[in-house]
Amino acid sequence: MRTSVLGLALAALLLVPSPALAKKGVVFVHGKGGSDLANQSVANAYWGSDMIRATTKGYAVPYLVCHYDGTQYMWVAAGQVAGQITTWMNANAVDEIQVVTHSFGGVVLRWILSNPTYDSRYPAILSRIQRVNALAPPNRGSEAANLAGTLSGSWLTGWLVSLVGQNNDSTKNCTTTSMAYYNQYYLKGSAGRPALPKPYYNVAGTGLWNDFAHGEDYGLATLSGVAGMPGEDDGMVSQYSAQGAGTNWFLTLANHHHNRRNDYRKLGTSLAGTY
Amino acid sequence: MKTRTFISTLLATLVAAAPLAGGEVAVGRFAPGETVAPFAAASPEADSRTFVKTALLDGGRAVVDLPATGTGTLLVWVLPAGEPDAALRAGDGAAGRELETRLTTPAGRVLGPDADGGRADAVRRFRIEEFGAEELGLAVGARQEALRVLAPEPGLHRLELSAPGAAAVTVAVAELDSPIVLTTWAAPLSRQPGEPVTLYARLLDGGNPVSGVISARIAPQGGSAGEVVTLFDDGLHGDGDAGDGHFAVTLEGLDLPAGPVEIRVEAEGRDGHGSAFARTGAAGFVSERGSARLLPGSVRSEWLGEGDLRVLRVTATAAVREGGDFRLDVLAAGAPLADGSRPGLAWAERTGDLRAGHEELVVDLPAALLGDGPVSLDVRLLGLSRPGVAGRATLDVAR
Repeated sequence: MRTSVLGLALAALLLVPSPALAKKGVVFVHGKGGSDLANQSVANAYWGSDMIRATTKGYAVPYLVCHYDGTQYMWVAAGQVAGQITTWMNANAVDEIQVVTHSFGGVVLRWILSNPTYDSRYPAILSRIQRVNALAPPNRGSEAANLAGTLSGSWLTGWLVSLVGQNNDSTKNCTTTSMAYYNQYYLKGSAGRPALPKPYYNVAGTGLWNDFAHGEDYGLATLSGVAGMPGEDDGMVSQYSAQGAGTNWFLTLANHHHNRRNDYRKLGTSLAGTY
Repeated sequence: MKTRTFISTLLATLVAAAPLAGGEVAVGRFAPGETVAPFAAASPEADSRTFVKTALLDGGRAVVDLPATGTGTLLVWVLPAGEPDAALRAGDGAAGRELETRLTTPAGRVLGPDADGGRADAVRRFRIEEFGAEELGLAVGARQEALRVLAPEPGLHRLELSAPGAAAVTVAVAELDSPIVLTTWAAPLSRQPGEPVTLYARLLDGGNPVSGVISARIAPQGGSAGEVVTLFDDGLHGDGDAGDGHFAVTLEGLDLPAGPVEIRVEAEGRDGHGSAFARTGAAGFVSERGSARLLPGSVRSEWLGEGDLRVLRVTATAAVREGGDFRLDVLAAGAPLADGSRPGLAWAERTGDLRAGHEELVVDLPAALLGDGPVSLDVRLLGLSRPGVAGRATLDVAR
């Protein structure tokens, strides 16, 4: 049997100081993307300095921008994230963590919250997380990920396969089929499943079709239409999916999926108000 | 949403430690009013009003005919495959020549490559430089475009395209408001080695059956698609009644690697006015590794102890083919409600390192969490070293 982490978790719980003495910190966990998101600089650029500054109240609290390979399954990504959080929280003596996630990052955090025995580092992280704020998490999958499968080279022959490419593991992770499977067996917090052990607040984007009128993001507007996303969506994740786990916090109107930077006033200010 | 504190879990864990097996145990309770969802045996249904074609380019050019029923806005997304030649991209004015399209509607309206159309025009072009291709893992060219046709005529829309440097172009066409919908799904959602897989489709026009032909291919993790299989609407393939718009086919003897399996479904037909249509749908399932399985009939329960120490002990036997970390999950629920869900009572998880061979698994649920009413158990064995479902069983508990 693997070494029990129960004692460690209990000890960690008892060592957490009272709220008045707690040292707070903010962790950013990005979403899917390229393998270059494993680089710190690329992950920093993903969020943008305005968003980081607004969320950390002008850098008034310690923060960590996690950087993981954006092409991998959630448990692979979670391993990289857990290592970085562990090192950071110990080095900075942070004992109360607000986690801010975007897109697939919210699913990565649900993996950590739902499967504490998967990795011996998870319980200590769990004991210090105060709250997760998940921006546009594909908790019930994404029709855009389904479409990516249809558009991939898997359906072609010979050299065309490599030319068009095959959708990567993180995209397979986010199809509606895969997320139905993971929600049923591995992930907590969705309807009819045990609760997540820590508060998990979702923010869903809506009003994406305004973009055809306002010219903000024709690409996501096209993706939304062709993928056939039901109801409101942000071009990549439908509202019903973002709200498929945790507590519904608020909606962002005229939003689109990639605006973790340019909507920093609304999102960053809201995030900074949670601790 | 329910809440549960980590403290309560840890305290419950101390109570729940079972003497017959080691490993890490966690126990929790469902909050009052929370339910355990009905088990989903199939993948979620996915609707499509879109069809997808990939055309090989000859000398950088191709012509693609796009059927439309004229029942709503038409959105045509053109995606050159792969990066254009570097020399072309670097050349003077080359960026404008990476992709050129001309769309001609059945009535002869034309949107040429030098016009984009305005807000008031029925046919309009939107140039797209980014939509999240990398996020979706797609290797598309640096530039795509969307063509929008308001109030399209029924019939074939001709798309002439030029994409120097690209070898193929994928065109995805959506009839956004069309009543013709292809719905696709597959079962089982979790497929153990050797199990058959059934592909399902429903092709309806405003809720009524519409004539069409449906085929599918499946692509395993990391592989290319297999042979085309036909789905049937003859009432003989688990598809309901003949001609009711419900299609199915069951595939036996599939040899698939572990991991998610994608399914692409193609439908073609004509609507009640004789207009041709096409739809492309997606579905999937997970091909399990078969690293372990719960032995049939091995899942049992018994009440043990008295008073505060009384527990419901759940035992099972796993036949382990590949050793590693596994977790036994037990969800306890009450009597079924009208919607098929059950009021959630409690859950327990035991994680342990199982070796190849037969392993006895034990987990205890404190009786105090289970109330006095009927109890049903949903027991799952899940892989952790290699995520995947190794087995599942349900059990009604005698009081």
